Amino acid sequence: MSSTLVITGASSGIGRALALELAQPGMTLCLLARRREELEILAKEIEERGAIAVVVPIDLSVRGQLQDFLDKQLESTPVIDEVYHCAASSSFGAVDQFSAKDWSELYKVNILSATDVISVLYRQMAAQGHGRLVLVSSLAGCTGYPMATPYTAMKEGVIGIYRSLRHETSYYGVKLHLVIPGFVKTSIYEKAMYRGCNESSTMESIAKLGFPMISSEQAAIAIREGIERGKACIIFPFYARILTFIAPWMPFVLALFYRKILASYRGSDSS
Amino acid sequence: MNRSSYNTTFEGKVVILTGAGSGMGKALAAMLQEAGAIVFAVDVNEDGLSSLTKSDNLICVSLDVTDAEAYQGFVDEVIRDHGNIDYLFNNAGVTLLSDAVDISSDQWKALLDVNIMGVCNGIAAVYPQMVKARKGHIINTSSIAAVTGYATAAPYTCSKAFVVGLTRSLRPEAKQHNVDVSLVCPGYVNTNIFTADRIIGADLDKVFSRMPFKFISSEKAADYILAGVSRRKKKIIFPFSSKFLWFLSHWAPFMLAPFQRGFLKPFREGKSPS
Repeated sequence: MSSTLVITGASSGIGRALALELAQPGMTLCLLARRREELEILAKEIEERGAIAVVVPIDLSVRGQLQDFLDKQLESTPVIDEVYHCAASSSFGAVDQFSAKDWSELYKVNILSATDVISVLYRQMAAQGHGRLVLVSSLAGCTGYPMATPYTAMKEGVIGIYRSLRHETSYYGVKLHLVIPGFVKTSIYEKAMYRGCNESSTMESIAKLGFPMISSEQAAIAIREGIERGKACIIFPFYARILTFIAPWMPFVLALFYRKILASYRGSDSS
Repeated sequence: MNRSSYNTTFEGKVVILTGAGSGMGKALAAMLQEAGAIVFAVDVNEDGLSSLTKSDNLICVSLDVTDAEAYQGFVDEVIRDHGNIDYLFNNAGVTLLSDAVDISSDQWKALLDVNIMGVCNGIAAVYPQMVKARKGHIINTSSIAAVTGYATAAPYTCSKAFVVGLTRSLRPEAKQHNVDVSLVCPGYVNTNIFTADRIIGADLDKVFSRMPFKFISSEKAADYILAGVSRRKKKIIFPFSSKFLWFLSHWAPFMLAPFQRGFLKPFREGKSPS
């Protein structure tokens, strides 16, 4: 297998785990993220598995960087076979605490990075006549999640892209997948934007909801298996499948969760 | 629709309405003004604003919703002069119909800046004021396309799905502060949102002939919206065909596939996959 894969958000979390899960001898993996050191450590692990790692320390929220990467990459590998878009940045806090600048920052990382992946990498794969595009959204994008509203809304935006794009890609030989993970234990919580609350109160609030967190390795396996089974929409773990199913039909069930979330944050305010 | 049902709701209320220069916004501006509201009609297009019927309680504001600083400055002024804002209609929006392979990064961004960041800027400037005042109502205009998906409209559905997600999570938050949030999902409304320059790679007439539902007038749409807003409805979905589509897209999305293929046809004529 001499295919070329591109993974965004590869320095940590699901992106990193996915790179390790997918790496096979002979493959080229382009690892995209902001932090070079983390990518270089990952690159070593990938090369131990016999694959070729290309470290691409770029900031997806800076316009044009992805196109520059592609132009350069095509000089060494003729095509891009698969693209896994995992880069994202979460947010917690009440909406009235978010400034226009905060919204804009989250918009760049969560929305514009995804649309750049489409306008640069999907277009390339469509021109080749084959490829695979995997977009990672979030369970919160399907169900809503007060106190994480900006992130949640943007993840629903990514689902919106999928809803339309899924009718378009097969014509060009590109397979499109949407990934909807539930709670995954990654550094997304460490690096999230917190406004009027903090990481520990947020982790407590999530724990109170009672949904188990899976590891990013488990998430990566679920994604690989979902793709192997030819699933367009990959939802995991099991409770996420139940919630996405009931979300449109029993909003009152979600309302119970909303209340729990809001109560847990109110509790942490007063303490 | 019974117009008298909301006539008193808006009397003397301070309303910020974006995208007021055309389409549903224009109809909303006229009807809100008629209902006695103090309407700040915001639009980036001054020609559109000058076409509005002037009166003492309709103030035209030439403002680009993507300019966060200018938006904040404008809202501060309204607060200074009127004390509070009762309604924010996040109505401004643009569309683009094209096969996604023909849409450049800049075209994606141009649309999303208006449809997503325009809404964010409004929320960032107005919502904290409403929380402080412990009253207010935000009306977010999405589209039925957000839930059905719409082949050839990936950027648009991205932005409108964002609005659905935003409304869903913001509503329970805002309720704690006595602020209401409503979602508006219209079907096809006869506005200037579909014009030749908003279509890439296909003929306008051919695209139109493929649209499976009848267009309703902007006035009718505005009437649906205001009736829903006055009843503080969570979701305002219209016309009936849109309610049906909402239902289908959740229960039997495969039934929408023929429509999606139809949308793509005029864009794929004379094109061959490489």
